Amino acid sequence: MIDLKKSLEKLDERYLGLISFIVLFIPLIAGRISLFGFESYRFIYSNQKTPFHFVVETLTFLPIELALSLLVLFFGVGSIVLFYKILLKLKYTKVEAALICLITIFTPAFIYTFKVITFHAMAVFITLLSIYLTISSKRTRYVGMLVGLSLILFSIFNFIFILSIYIYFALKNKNQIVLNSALLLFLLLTFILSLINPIKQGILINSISDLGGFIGFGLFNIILFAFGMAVMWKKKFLIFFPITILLLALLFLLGPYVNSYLVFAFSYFVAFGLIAIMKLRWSMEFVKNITLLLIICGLLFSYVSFSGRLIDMPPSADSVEALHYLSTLEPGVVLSSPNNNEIILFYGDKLPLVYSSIPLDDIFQSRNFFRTRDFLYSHNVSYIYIDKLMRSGNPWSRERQGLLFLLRNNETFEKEYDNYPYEIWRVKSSEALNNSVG
Amino acid sequence: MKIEKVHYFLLLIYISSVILRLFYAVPHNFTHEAYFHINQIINLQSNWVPNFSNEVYMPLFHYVLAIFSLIQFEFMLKLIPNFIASLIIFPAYLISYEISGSRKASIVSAILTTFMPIYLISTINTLSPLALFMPLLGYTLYYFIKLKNSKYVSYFVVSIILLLLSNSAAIILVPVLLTYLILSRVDKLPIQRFELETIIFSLLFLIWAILLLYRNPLILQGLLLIWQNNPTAILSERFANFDVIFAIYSIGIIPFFAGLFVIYEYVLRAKDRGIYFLTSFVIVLLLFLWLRMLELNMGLIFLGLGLILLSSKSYSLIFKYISTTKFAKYRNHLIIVLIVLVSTTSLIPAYFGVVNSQKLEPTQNELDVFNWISNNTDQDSIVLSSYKEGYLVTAVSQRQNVIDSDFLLVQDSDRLYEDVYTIYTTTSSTEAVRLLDYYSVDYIVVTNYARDYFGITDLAYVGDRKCYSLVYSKGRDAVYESLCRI
Repeated sequence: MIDLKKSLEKLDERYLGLISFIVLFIPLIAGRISLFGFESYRFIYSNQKTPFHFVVETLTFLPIELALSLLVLFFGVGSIVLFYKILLKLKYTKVEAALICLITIFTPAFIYTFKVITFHAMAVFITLLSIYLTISSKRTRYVGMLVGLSLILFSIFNFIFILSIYIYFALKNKNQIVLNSALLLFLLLTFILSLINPIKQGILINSISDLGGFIGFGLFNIILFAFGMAVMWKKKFLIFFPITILLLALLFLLGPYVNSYLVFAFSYFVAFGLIAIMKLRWSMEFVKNITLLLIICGLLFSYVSFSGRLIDMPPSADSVEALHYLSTLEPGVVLSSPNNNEIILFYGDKLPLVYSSIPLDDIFQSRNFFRTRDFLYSHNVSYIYIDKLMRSGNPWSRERQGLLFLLRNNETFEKEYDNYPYEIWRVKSSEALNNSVG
Repeated sequence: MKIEKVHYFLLLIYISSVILRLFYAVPHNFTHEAYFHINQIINLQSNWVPNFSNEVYMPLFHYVLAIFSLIQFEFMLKLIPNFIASLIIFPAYLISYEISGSRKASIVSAILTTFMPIYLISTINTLSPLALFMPLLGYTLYYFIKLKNSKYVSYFVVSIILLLLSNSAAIILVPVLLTYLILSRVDKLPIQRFELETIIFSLLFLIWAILLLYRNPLILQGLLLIWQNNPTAILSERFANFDVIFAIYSIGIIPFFAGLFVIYEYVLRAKDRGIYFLTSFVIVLLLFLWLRMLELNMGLIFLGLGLILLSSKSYSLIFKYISTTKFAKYRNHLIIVLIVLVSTTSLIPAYFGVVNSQKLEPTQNELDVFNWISNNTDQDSIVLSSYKEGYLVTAVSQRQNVIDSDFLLVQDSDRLYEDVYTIYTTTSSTEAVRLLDYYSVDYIVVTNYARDYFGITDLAYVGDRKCYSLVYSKGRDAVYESLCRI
């Protein structure tokens, strides 16, 4: 049987970097060429420029998709290496540090952070770099702090977060009790607020990947986290306690993206929960072995299940193909789901219809031909792009619902591309219509 | 093991239970819900691998029935579930004896469990997996109570695995075990190391197995999966408000109050593992029923089991008390009076409950409709019926249905239910054609049941002969062919 302790001891930053590289690279091996999720494309066209955008702009010699994919991969691998080094600096053993990092790598929130393009990938990396430089030696302390201060260029959240970490490092034990209590109170408050506020009610569920959340944790992670918290309670002055409580509080306040940062502290407790279970003096070796097997299967299950969902994230290859075809057509405005706006720009090279006098859903659901036609003409819509997601509930769930029914009017609409469920319809211009009538 | 009088007595009650159940089951039809299970059994018999693409279910019970029904299909489907469901008497007796230490009290509890009104109604002719789940649950509870002895660990582990494979309701044990740990901690009840280890294993196993088997529904619906994606209109019917009067009627008045009395009298006072565990079971069920997180019928069966088992302690106390009073010489007479009293307050509701459950069965005329469809329509026809009759379409007619009682993987269950409701109740032929076209319906079944359910005498628009043709009619049951397309 494999000696887990010895194997973990051998796992240094190089191996961990390699493992994280493989885990983050696997979805690419699965034949995926596009970026993951609409969020990634939203980042490209975002008005809010962050240092990440400037870094991307320096890599103009590469296709943007490749540049972004390589950058987040680098940040992901780099974050794991830095995290491992931070743990060693904080006097954790090699085994503990390797286990914590391994758990982090296989957590859905980590994979999401470094597969879907957002500025958080770089912000997480900078945060860890700042912490590492600050604690590694006196010489690098101020450089580290300076790097940390640069996080203000990403968002206020990032700045407050790194500032809180510095403050905590500077505090003495006595003050830490006060701060811990204040943080716990803050957590309680934000949790209650999230329960009251209907917009925030889904945050908790959206943080559980097995229940459909994306930037989240598996149920087994959560169980082990709770166990780890209970086991480590005696060491509550360790930096991971206040960080976790602060991030949990911010999670309820700001939303699931906080999990991109929380995943590191979270995995720390998951690992110690697992270690505690392994160290328990079990009276029945058989039950211990199957319990450990169950836990490992449970952790891996969340990873495997999440990876499958990640690969299925839009845009699909069929969708990209359809949009490439759209790019070959004459210029014009495209009506589609607002989710598709950025990919229409990116792959279709056309302008999506963004602003309209009438809510788009009214147009999608309407079976009033004249009203719809007038709307399309008044907004100069030349094409309608329909994809699988639009047909499966957003906005249509039936085959002849609303606009889908009207599209059969061949005097006004002409099918340009058909690869069901992906379709591109051309809206015949009013002049063409008049000519054909004439 | 020495065979004692009590064992013969239990065997006698068991045989009586099987005979009484069959006495009702054989001449009656299966309920609407049973056809879901018949469908799964037929599928299993053809390829022995459950098909989870349309429905997600735990297949152990269906495997058992699929094997036995190879001998004789319909009779075995009547015999085996009742044969298995009656087995509840044995774990019920064992648990009651563990708790009360009195054979007489345990026999009373065992009888009450076997003839619990709601249990009988839900397992006689329904092919419900509860018939297997309940005896297994009984054994799981028993082995847990016996966990103070480590030799029961393997029994407990095996029973919990079988329990989960028979019904996903086994997940209820997660909050039960956690509540038990909390209660034990509060009252400083000593927990053996191997007991704790077994609890940890069971919790993790149950969560892991549910995650594995219900992965897709969980990702689609999250925690809403608890309500099985039922349309709002049906939700209040299945996950109805917990009504104490109905609960008393369903469980039996004496066991209901006697069980609650034991909780009141013993919890946090007497350090008894069995009572603590069953109390945790009852607390969780009451909470789940109150929050409408459990189907009412299923929840009441579980609650009934917990309360009846706990009530055995009350009976033993009564028997003990009688022996210390002047009535001691009449002890046996009083015990008989008590047994008669307890039995009648449970058996009478059970009898009426079972008789009333005929409403849940399709009539022979209704079954004839679905048999006619099977013999006279194209294999790939799509047939619309009320949602409760949906499984009759798939199991008896062997045709694709539009709606049935399983909404777990339906994308928009509310819309589906509303559309079907509209087709049956609308007066507009255009509206009906639009929806019938959307669902590609070829035949509409209008049975007596559907007329009552939708409150109609007939489809209002079938006078339009161009679009609808009456292809079958017998009494109040009819089948219309939908001819128009948009």
